[in-house]
Amino acid sequence: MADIEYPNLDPRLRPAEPDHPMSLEGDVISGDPALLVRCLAEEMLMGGMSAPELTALSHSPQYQSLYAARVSLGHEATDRILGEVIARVGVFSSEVWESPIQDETPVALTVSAPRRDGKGD
Amino acid sequence: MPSVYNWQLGRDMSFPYGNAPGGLQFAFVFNINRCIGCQTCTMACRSTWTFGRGQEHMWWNNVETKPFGGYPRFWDAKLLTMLEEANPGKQVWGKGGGGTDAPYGTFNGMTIFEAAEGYAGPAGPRRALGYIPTADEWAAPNIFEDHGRTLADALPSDARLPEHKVWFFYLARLCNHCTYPACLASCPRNAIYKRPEDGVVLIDQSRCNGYQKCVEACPYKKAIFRSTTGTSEKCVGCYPRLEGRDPLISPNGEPAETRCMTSCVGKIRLQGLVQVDDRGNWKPDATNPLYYLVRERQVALPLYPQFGTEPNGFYIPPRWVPRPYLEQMFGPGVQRSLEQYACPDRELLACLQLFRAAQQIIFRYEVIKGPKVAEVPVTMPDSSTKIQEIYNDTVIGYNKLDKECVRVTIKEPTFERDRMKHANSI
Repeated sequence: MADIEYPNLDPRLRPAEPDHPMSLEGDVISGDPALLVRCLAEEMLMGGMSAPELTALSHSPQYQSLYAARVSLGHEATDRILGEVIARVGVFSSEVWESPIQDETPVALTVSAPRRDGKGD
Repeated sequence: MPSVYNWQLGRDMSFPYGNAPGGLQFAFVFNINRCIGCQTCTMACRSTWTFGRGQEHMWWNNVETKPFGGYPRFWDAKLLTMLEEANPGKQVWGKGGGGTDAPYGTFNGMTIFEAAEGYAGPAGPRRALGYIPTADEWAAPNIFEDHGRTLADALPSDARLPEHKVWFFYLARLCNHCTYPACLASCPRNAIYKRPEDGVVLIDQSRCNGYQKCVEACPYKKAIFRSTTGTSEKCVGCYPRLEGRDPLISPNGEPAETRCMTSCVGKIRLQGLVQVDDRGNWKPDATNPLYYLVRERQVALPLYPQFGTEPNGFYIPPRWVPRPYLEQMFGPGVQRSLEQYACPDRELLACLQLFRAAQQIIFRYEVIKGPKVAEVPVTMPDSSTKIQEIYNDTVIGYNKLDKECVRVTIKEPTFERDRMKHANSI
């Protein structure tokens, strides 16, 4: 199989071209990380996440919403906000009954469309 | 060009094909506040519809991190810039609003259809303002995912951008099955059609010749070209499920939610079918959860309504994001939406429990009232707190056959006390 040339997406490695702007302009979009942490923590707790799970999530770089805020605000401030929200809101829960499905026998579904050239895909 | 009424803009606008047929319309509400960006919806769609050769770049459902992410890259910023250039300084909303005909006020700027009127480019006249994304822009579906700060890492070492404080949110997107689809309007082969039975917009693969006019015109960039078949493809709204043809979920032919909706881990999604009249307006029906959230309470808002396609995907905006950014994205209804969502009253809280509760589509719901079980101070968008009352209510959802398909009971919140502070606790 022939090698495929992918476009070079890393801006640092692209050569400069004559029509590239030589100055960059950007604007600060002000936000409030403490508000973000409070709101997200409330949403998680209202969604049924427990307090230990929420705290663990805020330490995980895999979930950047809270982790980036922790990096930005620091551990002490983040833990203080989380503790305040947990004490104030508690953990929400609900009971769900979905109507039972009578027959759970596996069924074969056909959802593919024929190719235009008549061959299988 | 014929004139049609667009309730999201609060005025008539030009559209090549006149009013959409009345009947049922596919619609959905996403609660952005709860999205955790897990991409389960993306993969559910992918593994069902777009796993073939030539579909590698085809993500009918995607979740992008705003403000920096986007698929194709910078799709919304590019189109907003094009509209601003076509109508400089006038892409604004009028003050006022309210009522069923103009809930968000009146948009005084140009839609993508109006901006394209009289325009003739190298390839001839256009029905809608748009562009075809480059291969580069289609190459990275989750570029800048989880970026809440500047792109400083991606810049040359001598370049600097101002650093803004952390905020971002996940925006899940799919085809909005618009009431006035730009893809349909732009197709020179009339290969795209809107089904009267559910408002789903489909591309007839036997008619499509791959001119990519739909790819160019769709402002949300949800029509995508497939090189192996030479045709364009798009989200099909999982129509076999909408038709109740999956016997596992719909033993009696009840309409079921799509794959992306039913797989949602964060429970952010609620899909439905709403009644639309011959003028394209939603028929009043406050017992339909979609109608209640979108039209009655106006908690869920359309994505970029100013484009003019009357999208049928609606979003509950995130509470922590700067207001001007949200108003650009969702229109002037943001303030009203956030105030209601941040501290929902009894009925709204009950309706919000229906998100991701059932696989079958809920056509009607009712609430059985229970006693008040808690009062909880919650954070409002201005950082103040307000008391939310929690009731032990039960919300019941009914399917198209008016049979109960789900029942959700709200329970009292639980609090874990710190054992070190309460040493005598048992």
